[in-house]
Parts: sequence; structure tokens; C-alpha cells
Amino acid sequence: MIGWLYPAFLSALAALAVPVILHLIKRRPTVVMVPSLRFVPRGFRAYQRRLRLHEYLLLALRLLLLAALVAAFAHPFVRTRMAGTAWQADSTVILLDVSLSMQARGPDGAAVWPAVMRDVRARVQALPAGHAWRVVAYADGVCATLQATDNWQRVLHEWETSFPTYGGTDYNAAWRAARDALADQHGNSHVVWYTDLQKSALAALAAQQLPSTCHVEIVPCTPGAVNQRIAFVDAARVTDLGVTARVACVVSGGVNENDLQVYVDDLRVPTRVEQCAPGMAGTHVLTLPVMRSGVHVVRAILRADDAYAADNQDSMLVYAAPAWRVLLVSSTPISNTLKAKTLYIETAVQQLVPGSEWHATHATIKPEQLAKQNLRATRVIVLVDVARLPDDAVRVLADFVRAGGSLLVFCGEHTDIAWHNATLARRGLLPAQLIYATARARAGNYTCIGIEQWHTNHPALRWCTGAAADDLRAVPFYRVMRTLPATNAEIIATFDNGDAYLAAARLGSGTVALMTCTADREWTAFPRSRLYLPFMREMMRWLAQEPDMADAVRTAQIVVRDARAEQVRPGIVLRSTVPLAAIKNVPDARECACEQGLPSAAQAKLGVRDDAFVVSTTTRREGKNDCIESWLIAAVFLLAALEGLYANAVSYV
Amino acid sequence: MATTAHLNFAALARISDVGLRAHIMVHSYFAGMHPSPRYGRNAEFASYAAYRPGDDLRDIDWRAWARSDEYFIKRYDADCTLNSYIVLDISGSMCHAGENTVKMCMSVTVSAALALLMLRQHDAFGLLTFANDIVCDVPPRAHERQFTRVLAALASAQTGGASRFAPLGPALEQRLKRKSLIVLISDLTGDCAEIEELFERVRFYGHELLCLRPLAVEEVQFSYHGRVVLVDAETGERQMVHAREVRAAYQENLRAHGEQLLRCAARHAVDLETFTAHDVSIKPLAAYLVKRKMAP
Repeated sequence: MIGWLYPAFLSALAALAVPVILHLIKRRPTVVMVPSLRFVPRGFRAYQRRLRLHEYLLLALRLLLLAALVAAFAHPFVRTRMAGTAWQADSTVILLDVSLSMQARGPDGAAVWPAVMRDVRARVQALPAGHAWRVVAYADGVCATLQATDNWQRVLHEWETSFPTYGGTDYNAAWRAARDALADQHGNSHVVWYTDLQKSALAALAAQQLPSTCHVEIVPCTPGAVNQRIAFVDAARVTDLGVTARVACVVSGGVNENDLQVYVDDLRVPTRVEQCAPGMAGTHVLTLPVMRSGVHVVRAILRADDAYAADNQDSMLVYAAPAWRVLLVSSTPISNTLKAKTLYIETAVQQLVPGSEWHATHATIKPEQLAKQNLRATRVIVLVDVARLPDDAVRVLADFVRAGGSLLVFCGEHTDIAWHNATLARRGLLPAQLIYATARARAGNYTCIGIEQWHTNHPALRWCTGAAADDLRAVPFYRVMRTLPATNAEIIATFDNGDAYLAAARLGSGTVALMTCTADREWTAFPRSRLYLPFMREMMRWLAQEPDMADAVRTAQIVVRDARAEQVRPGIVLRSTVPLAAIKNVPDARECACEQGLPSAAQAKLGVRDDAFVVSTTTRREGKNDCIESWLIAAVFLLAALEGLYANAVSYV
Repeated sequence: MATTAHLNFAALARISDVGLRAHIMVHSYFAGMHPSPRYGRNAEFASYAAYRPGDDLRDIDWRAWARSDEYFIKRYDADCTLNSYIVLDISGSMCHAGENTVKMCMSVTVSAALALLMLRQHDAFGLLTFANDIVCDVPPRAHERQFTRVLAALASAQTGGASRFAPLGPALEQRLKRKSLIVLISDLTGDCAEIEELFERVRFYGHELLCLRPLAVEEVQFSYHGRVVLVDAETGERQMVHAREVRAAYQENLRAHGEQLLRCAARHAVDLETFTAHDVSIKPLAAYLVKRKMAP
């Protein structure tokens, strides 16, 4: 029975009317009066009759040419059996993919494998008595075979725990096993293929020869699992070439250097990948040159030339930014770092975990070292209980803040109040006038004060909610510097006695902030609190004017990107509703008919997406069908040549 | 001497007056020819001949005797009048219309031009038109009004019918009592046997015969395209052909017919000249003048 792969092209048969209309309205012959017909050869007296015959023949030839052309576009094929019709199978072979990728979990976190096993068990149980069946588990090869004579319930139960196994997927081996199983079977046979459709699964199907009475049903088990996954994204770093990001890709199978392609914002970047053993999962850490700050999409594709590359890719968002520096200025840096006033703040701003998102560095200098050449990559200068600064350093500091930098001043024992008011406050480098330091109170004494109020929406403190807020209020402060805030200053946090704890003001393009307490635990127990590190980091992030990415993206966030058209071979329809893994493909569409949706029972058990599909295919007749197509194309060329020659021969206008 | 400047007959055919067309054709043919400013003898000197007893002594050239001491007599061309008959075929085949010219118009103009030329030569000329039979007859005369009669007869000529040459011979024999120059203007598409019989009969009675055969350019080249329906102008028979397929055979048949006519004319010492619209202003008049010189 003839079927059409692209029946829509058959509508082009309406073009057959064109030569017919031209034939009907063709130009009438010219009437010419000649002196005598005696000079016209006798042999042409019957020309009119022959010409009419020529016209009909030429019309038929042209109609045939158009019909053949349309048929060639519509891709006819010989359908050995109507898909979707009831199929009474005498034997059944279930091919079960037990490769590593079958461990995948769906978007909802549900594992696929148990659902698959339940479906297999239900399917076997539903087979009638005496029905010949076999279950073939395969990965790199045939792993196990289950026949009707075995204690199949026990074996399937064991398989549920022992499989999936490490290994790739060799569909050829699976189909060879199916072919061998069907070799000694007579009558109709049914092949049920459970697979996650990784790699060129259906291409392998196309390469196999199955008996003509075989009906293949493919049950896809891929709710979004991929063979290759980006594991983590390291912090971006500044290198000589610009900003780079480190990306780790986990590949479940063997990978060659050319197999893995990594794209940053759709630009392929060169990667060097160490080859790992086939069948073994491997982690490959790549250093990708991003070259500019911002959010980038890193996409890794395994075997991009694979027809199913859309199923073997993963994407992540990477926030890449150059590292910046916090410059700590302390009057009393001592060799014993444990006694330094900058100990806690240094601990707070240093990178504790390699690969974390915090990528600020710090340095500590003396006041007299504060010069312009030492401010490279510096975004924040912190004066940690500095008595006074040289005049040149003050000028450098003022220029730095006006140019966009930030200044944070911690008060302390050594702070020269008069000099701060006369120099820094007069230049606008202090958001408040310093008055005096209060008397020290003992911990637990009622004279200890605490932070009472703060701006809950302020970038430096908005993280402090719930239990963290209670903890912050419980932090004792023994001494504080009483201040008189400037008119343009913003009081971010205040003590319970009404004094300001944190004040800030704008100066030029920069920000100046004042902490009325020490940076160490001399006046307060705050540095020993678990809140100190996030407080200081968010404070520094705010002062460094680093863009807040919390609401936009999260670093290493997995993004869903639709596969591009060129990543799937013609004939494959990629479902847009399912990210990355939805494949609707058949090896040779002319041989198959796709039915939308799984059977409801199987769909419920598998928990797969609604638009999963079942492929019903008849026996491969690809050779014959290709032959039909080839013959049609040859016929088109032959008819076109004949039409040209014939029309030229009869000079039909 | 004829001029080399060809007359554009397509433009000439737009003039409805046949007489004016004839004047233009004759004047254009003789353009550049002018009478000699020197005076001469009335009779044209022809040749010298040795004196033989019995010759008139007045013909002896005494100057030649003085130079050579031998007697020579001078011979002169004698003046004579010529009786001419223009026989025009007005059968249906003569109404073949080309792209810009009609064969009949071409023939009528040539007839009028020849009549004008004969009038200037002081020859007696007449007109006979025929198709199936004799249609119109203007007997030869040699005066001014004869030209007007001929023009009137030409203007009233209506084409139609088939050309039959069999009754033409006896009609001419009946009308011409002395040796005459007959100018037959016809495309000679009739039966070759009849044509040869006419040639033989005319020549038997000593008449000079000049056949002018007008052909249309399209008729010669068969320059039609695609499918055409050919209609026989004389019989009305229709036939659909494809021009390209029959062109070669048609031209071959036409050429063979022309060669047969030429052989037939050569056998009977008849001058046959074929002309088209391209050379209508030169060939017919030149052929007539050559024939006129050799006419009795």
C-alpha cells in the first residue's frame, strides 16, 4: 500500500490544471494566403491530424512530468502494514535500556527507572499465557536476558536494584539481540523498546534488519535527562586575557577531545578535554575565557554532530566579573596577625572557599602608604581605627571617593577626633562629626547597648531577617563613638540609645560610611558573631557597588535553552514544551506513524510528559522506498528531457 | 544605365495613383541619365563594311578611303516603331499580400511603367489582362491617350480566378498581325505544359516574348512561423502546416518550378525575369530595355 511521507505536497497536483488550461487557450494558427498549394509537399497534407495527436501526447507528457515531480516531493513509500491497526503479536521482545543515563530523574525529581520497571512488569504480566516473550537488558552490550521460562518476577525485582549500570548505550547490540530472539519465532512479533533515546538510537534501528512481520513500539523514558551535565561554575577570575570562568562538565560516557563542545554566549570556545575511559563517567574542568563581565550562558554539547545532540547538552548561567580589592588601612599593623585590629575584617572579606561566588581580595597597608599607585582594582578603602592620615593621603582619598570609590571608617581608641572633624568631615569624607567615645561598659551590664533599628531594605542589611535579626539585636556594644550626623547623611542603623551605628553619605560618585564602633572585638562582641561575616560581605558588596544579581540570576543556575534547528536532523521535531530532551524522531519517517501520547496506563506509571509518543513502525523497507524515490526523481528528469526534446521536435508553441 | 539606387516599393505602393507610381518608377530608373550636350546625326552609326558592287555610293566613307585607299561603307541603325503588348495576369495568385506589398500592386505598377516607357519610345502599346480567360483588351496604339486608357484598364483590374495560359495563345495570335514584343507579367503558377505551349505558339509567329515573374518576398522565403493555415489563392483550398517543417520542401519545389520555367523559356528563346519588391524598380525595366533593343 502506498503512503505519502509529506502528503501536503499532493496539494500541488492542482498545478496540473495549468498545462490543461494552456492547452485549451493556446494560440490559434495564423491563416496565410499563398499563390498555390502545389509547392507544399504532399507528405504534409495529413499534418493537421498528426499535429492534434502531438498536442495530446505533449499534454500527457507534461501532466505526467508534473505528477511525477509532485509525487517525488511527497515521498511515497510502500507501507507494508497500516500503523495503528490492531496488531496481534505471537511473540514479544522487550528491549530494556539499562545504561547510566537511565538513572536520570525528571524535572519533578522522580526517578525514571522504577517507573520503567513497573511498566515492564505490568506489560509482561499482561501477556497471555503461552505467549513467547523475552526481555533483553542492554547497555554497552547485552547485559542480561529474561525469558518466559524464568522466574521473571524475581528477576525483574533484582534488576530494579542492580540496574542501571555504568556504561554507554549500544543499540546495535540490542537490536541484534532482538533479531536473534525473533529468528526462531513464527508469526507476528512485537518489539517493545524502553530507552531514553540517548545518542543515535533510532539511527541504529534504521541500520538493522528485522523480519517483515515485526511491529516495533518505542517507549521513550527521557523526562529531561541528559548524558552530559555542567556540574558547577567556578568564580570568575581576572587573568591576563580578561575574565575567565571555570566550568566543570560531567560526562557519563567516554569522551574524546572533539566530542565536547562548549559555547559561551553561542560562541564556541576552544577546550582541551582529557580522554577518559569509555563507559565511565568523567569530570572535565574547563577554563573558559569570557573576556567581559556580566551574565553569560555557558552551554556544553556532547557530540554535536550527533543527530540527537539536543539531548546531550546542558546550559548554565555564569556571572563573570573581575575581582576587586578591599584596601584596609590600619595605624597599628603588627606582625602578630592574631592581635591586629584588622584581624576580623580581613577574615570576613577573604575568600574562604575556592570556587565560591565571593571573589574579592584584600590588602592591608599603613596610612603613609596610601597613595594612588596602590589603589589598583580597589573599590573600598577601610580606615581601621586610624589616628590621622598624611595630607597627601587625604587628597588621594578624596579623589578616590569622588571618582566612585567608597570609604568606610571604623572608630576606635586611636581615632583623633579633632583631626577627623577638621580634615575628613570638612572635606565630606565623614558622614558625621565625631563627638566623643562613651565610657566602657562591661558585658552583661545594663549599660551595654545594642542595635535597635536599621533599614530593612538597605542592601547591607536586608538579609538580616527573622532569627538573624534577633541575633543582631542581641549583640552587645561596650563603647561607641557618639556622633553628630551631617545633614546629607543617612542613618542606616541606630543603637537603642538613639546614637548612630552606621551612617553613610554620598560624595561625588562614591560613598562614605562611618561605623561608630571598632572593627575588632575591642568595643563590641559583634566580630565574634556569626552575623559579622555576612554583614561585612554585604557591606563591602554594597560599597563596591557590585550589581545585585540575587533577583535576576543565580550563578550556576541551570537554564533551559531550546535546541536550535541545526542540532536536530531534518525530520526530527523538537517539542518546545520539554526542555532539551524531547525528541520526536523515527529512523525513517516514511516507515512509521507516530501516535501522540502514550497509553494512559503507561503514561501514569512512567510519569512522563504528556507529549511523549509511541512510535509504531513496520518493517524497514528503506531500500525499496529509496528505490521508489530514486526512480521518481529519475522519472522526473527523464520526462523533463523527453518533454524538451519532444516539444522541440514538434516545435509546439 | 540603370541607377543603383533601389526604389522603396513599399513606400511607392502607398501611392494610389497608378500613373504617378509609373512616373516615379521610370524617372527613378533613369535618374542620372541625361541627354548629350553635343549634336549628332539622326541615325546611329552602327559599323563599317567593305564596299561591294551594288552598294550605294553615298554610303562610302571618303575619309576612310583617303586614309586607307580602300572603300568602306558606313552602316546606320534604321529607326522603326515597335508594336508592344503588355499581358497582365490578374488571377487569384497575383493577389498574394506580403508584409508591405501586394503582388498585384507591384505588377500593375510595372505594367504602367512599361507603358510609360513605350509611350516615350513612341511605340505602339496595348494591354491584355487575363485569368481563366481574357478579361480586358486595350489594342496597341501609339499616342498619348493610349497611356490613359491603359491606366484606366489597370485601375479597374480585379484579381480572381485561376490563371489559364491555354486561351492566351490564340487570343494573341488573333490580335497581333505583325511581329510584336509581348511582355507577359505573371507569377506563372499555372500548368507548365500550358506555359510552354504559349511560349511555343508565340515564338512560332515570330513575336518576341518577355516574361516578368513577380514574386512576394514571403512567398520566396516562406518566412512564416509556427502553425499556419495555408489558403490557395486560386482554388481556396486550405491546409494546416508547420512553417518550419515545410519550409525547406516548399522552397525546393518553388526553386524546381522556377528552373523548369527557365529551361522552358530557354528552349523557346523567351526572356524570363523574376523580380520581387526588392528589385521591382530595376529588373523589369532593364529587361524590357534590353529586349526592346533586340526587338524587330
